[in-house]
Amino acid sequence: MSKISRDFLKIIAQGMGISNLSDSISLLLVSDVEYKIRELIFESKKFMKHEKRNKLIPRDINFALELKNFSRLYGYNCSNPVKFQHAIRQPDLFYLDDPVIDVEDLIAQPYPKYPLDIHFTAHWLAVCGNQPEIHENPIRVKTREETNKQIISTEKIIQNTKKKRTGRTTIISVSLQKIFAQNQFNANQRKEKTKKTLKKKDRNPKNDPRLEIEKEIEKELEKEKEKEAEHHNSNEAVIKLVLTEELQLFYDYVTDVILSGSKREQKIVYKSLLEDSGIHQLFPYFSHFIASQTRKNLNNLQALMPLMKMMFALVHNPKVYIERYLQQILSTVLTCVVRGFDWLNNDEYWDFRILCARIISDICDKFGDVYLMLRSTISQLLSQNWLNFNHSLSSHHGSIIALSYLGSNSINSLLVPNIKNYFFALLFPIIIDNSKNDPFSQKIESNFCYSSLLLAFGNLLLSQSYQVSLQNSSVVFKDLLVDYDSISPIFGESIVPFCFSQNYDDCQSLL
Amino acid sequence: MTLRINKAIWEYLRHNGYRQTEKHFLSEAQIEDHTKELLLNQDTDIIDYILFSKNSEASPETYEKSYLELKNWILSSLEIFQAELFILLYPIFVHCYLDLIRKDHIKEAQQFFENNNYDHMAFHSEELAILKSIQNTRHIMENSLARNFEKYKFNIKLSSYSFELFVAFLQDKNFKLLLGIVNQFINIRVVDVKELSSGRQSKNDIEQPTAIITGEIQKDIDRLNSVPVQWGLLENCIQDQVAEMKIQQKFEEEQKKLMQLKRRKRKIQKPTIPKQENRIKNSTILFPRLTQKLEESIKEELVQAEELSQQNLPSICLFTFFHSEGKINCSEVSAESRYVVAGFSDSTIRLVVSCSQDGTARLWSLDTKSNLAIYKGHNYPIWDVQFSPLGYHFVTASYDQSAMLWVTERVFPIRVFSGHLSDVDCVRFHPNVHYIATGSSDKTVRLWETNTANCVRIFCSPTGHRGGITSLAFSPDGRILASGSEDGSIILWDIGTGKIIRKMHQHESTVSSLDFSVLDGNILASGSLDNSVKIWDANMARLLPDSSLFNFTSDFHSNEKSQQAVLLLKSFPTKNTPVMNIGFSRRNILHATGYFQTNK
Repeated sequence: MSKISRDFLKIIAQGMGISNLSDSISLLLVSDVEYKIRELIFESKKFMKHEKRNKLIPRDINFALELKNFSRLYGYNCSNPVKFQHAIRQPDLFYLDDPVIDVEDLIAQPYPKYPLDIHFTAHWLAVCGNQPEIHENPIRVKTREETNKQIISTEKIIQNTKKKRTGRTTIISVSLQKIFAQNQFNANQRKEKTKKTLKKKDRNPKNDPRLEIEKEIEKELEKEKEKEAEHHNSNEAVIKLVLTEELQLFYDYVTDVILSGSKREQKIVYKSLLEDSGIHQLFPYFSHFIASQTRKNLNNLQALMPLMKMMFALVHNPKVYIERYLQQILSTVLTCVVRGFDWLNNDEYWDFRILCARIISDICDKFGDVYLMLRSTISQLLSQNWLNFNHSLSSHHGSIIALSYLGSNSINSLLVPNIKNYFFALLFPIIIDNSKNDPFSQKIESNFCYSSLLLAFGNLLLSQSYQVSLQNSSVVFKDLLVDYDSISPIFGESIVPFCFSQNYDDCQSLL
Repeated sequence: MTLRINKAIWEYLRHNGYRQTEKHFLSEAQIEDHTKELLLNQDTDIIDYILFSKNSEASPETYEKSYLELKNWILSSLEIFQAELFILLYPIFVHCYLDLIRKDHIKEAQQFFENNNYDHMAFHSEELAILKSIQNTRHIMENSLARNFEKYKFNIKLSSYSFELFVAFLQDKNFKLLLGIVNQFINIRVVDVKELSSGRQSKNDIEQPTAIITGEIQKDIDRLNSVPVQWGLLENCIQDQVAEMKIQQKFEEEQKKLMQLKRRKRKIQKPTIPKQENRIKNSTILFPRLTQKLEESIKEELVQAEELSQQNLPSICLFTFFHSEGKINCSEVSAESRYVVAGFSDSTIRLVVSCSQDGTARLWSLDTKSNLAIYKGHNYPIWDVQFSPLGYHFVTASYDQSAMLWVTERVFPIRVFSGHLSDVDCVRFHPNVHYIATGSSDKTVRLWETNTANCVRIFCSPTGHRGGITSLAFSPDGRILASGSEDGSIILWDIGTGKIIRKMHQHESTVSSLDFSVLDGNILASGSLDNSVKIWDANMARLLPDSSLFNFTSDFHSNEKSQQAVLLLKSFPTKNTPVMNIGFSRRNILHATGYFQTNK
């Protein structure tokens, strides 16, 4: 039962000069030592609580030691933690790693960083019971009900204005929030429409998907413009979102760096976008920036990569609420996913595809519960694009990667049933074609598709065999997938690394 | 013991109808009327059983067996009694475990603990963790918690019917072991259903009552809590003066308006100042008067204080300390909003009594920024210190389970308040200085009379706090005491009756600080380590009918949560900043302090 082993105690006793500790005594001591240690921790927890912390620190334990009339333990308070080393061939023996330091080296070292001084700021958490939306306060996430209420109230206002407008122009100031609410409402509507149209259009195999999406975007932009114009008309007073000067400077800096900064600068920007909590207000601007720049630079990987990285950072920032802008984000990223590129010799190409796929899959993970059709719509779209032989192989490649990132379910239901067909109908002829008139790039592309399919299938195998091993370790590998036999000839031996390493024999017998 | 034997014999004679023998026996044993009453106590059956059953040596397996059987019986009983009877399970669990250890069945004890501790994890996790560490008899002697379990009885109220059920069950199965534990360590008080439900705040199953140990038996607590307490303010105190000034001001303003509007001389009646009730006329505590200048300035500020209510919520100013995680210990903003004080772990106080881990309290001068006096009295760390509202006196709370009262000019304590069973974690003066409230890790709050150092109230309830008390606040009119706990609950207590007015459980973490708004006391603010400040409607909580009056109107209680939501006026989350301290300034602006957490 005891957490402390008897051998450990014996070793300590030996260190103190007691060589033969009898078993009965050590048993008693072990239980006592454990009790004392627990007691010490309870006492030190009191100090932690009174300092209103949730984390126990060495100082608390020192105080508790003093309370029990023991001397303090020194050396645990410094910033670099003490390192214990495992003694070789002695399971219970540790020693302190205390290397010899040359004083001269120590002197030659630069001074450590001066610790930041403690200071405090004051701000209003609430003014007359309302929490001002300033940088110091956390951003309040509106519940769905609240936004719905706002939408209804905004609609009413707009209806009223429309009625009034027939008579004479009225100036109505609509608060910022209401505009946001309205935008979201429109966006939601549009999104659904887009999906429907996308679906519909995609069934028509002759159209190129990227063109469709671009068309969609253009259409939407037009619509947006119309709406804006309408809005402009309905509300004579133009309401501007006032950003603080700091935010504006930040926006300028970020966009500059993304467009024409060095890699180091860009890295800093990504980190900031990933972690900073005050940038939510800028998100609509960033989103628009990314969308417009993506459209401009569709053939320039050097420009697209930072844009997508920026999007990735923003999507993963927990303090940026992207729900309202999902539609814009998705259309931009999906463009990058399914568009056929011809930069196969570029090192970053594969990374780029994976990055876009990650964004899509993460968005699906995040909002799949809220928008139930999101995941299925996207995966349908991707699989249709993949199975459309009129599209370029590079476009197929993007779809495969994105599909494989959407999870084992989509791999299982969309990729696996079609692999055989796809491979023999499209890839195989290209791969085995040795005639010189075939463009070289197509061969590389088909290889890309092939290996990404292999990856997806292999990962599926891995995850499935893992799940099965959790339930029952003795299940034969063959039972995992019904159509394993039909697919294994395609990949041949290259699937072996993915097969469960624990049951290597099983795999061998299979292949 | 003879008394018990006598009783047993008497019972036997009565039961079998030996009238004559009974008479003789009574006269010969010299049993008088008052002892008769004593003998006719409620728990006859239990005593009988102890006496008549041989105290046979129980094997370690019987402990677990009987515990499990009791548990199964309780779980299979009717739902209304389940909640009541479930309270019994925890004390029995604890004592079974301790008994096993005492009898040196360490392995069995640990096995028993491992198997069954999940039953009580929800409410007693802290105590269970301590119990788990106990490994032999010596540890029981050393451990303060285990000692408390041995020394004091659990107080449990049961309705008469469920008590009967319980006794019948024990008789039925012949559980001598459990009977022994019940008799030795549990003080069961049989009450009628009405009283039982008044003690409980809601009839929801969420509010599972628990057994508590206070050191006194329930009867004593009830007696203690029925002693009247003068909770009124002092006569002619600053608060009353300010109220007077305000009325006067309003009157003058109205007069002015009338003059401007109508320019006619119409007299309006000068309002009479409402007579304040419950004022203490002759204060038994002496303290020096404030200087005229200071008193004037305080009054002036109080007059300007904004009246807060449900509609008029306060403004909150949050002071955030940066780069201080793990360094800052405590912080406070002075009532006139001039100073922000913070105590740091390197023993510096940055801009003013301070208390310390080294068992001393120190008085600091704001003018010279130096230490004026050191007060040594506690041998153990001092957890909290508080000046009286009128200055001069201050009180400290310590690890040594006591609180001490001091005056600034003496270096030794003038009163010691002891009685808590665990560390005294926080301490507050009543606005009239006659009483002191202390909150302790034993989950109870006690009220002490300053002058006599007697305990006059023990605030505890089966549905009370589930963790140690971390913060206290008196309402400005002195009627209500609010206490906040480690488990995130806030309870309002009526000082007059010593009963719960309301329990509010919305915080997710320790309630670090509580305060009522000045003068009116309409608003209760709470700061918590869950990174939020919450504003409660204290007036509403007071006005809502006491739950004891609505015993069986179930729909009133069915939505305790929504009631809490009514009381919770607003919640203000902070940005990664656990709130350490909050306090209303004299102008009713809420000051909050906290440290910024860099990583989650």
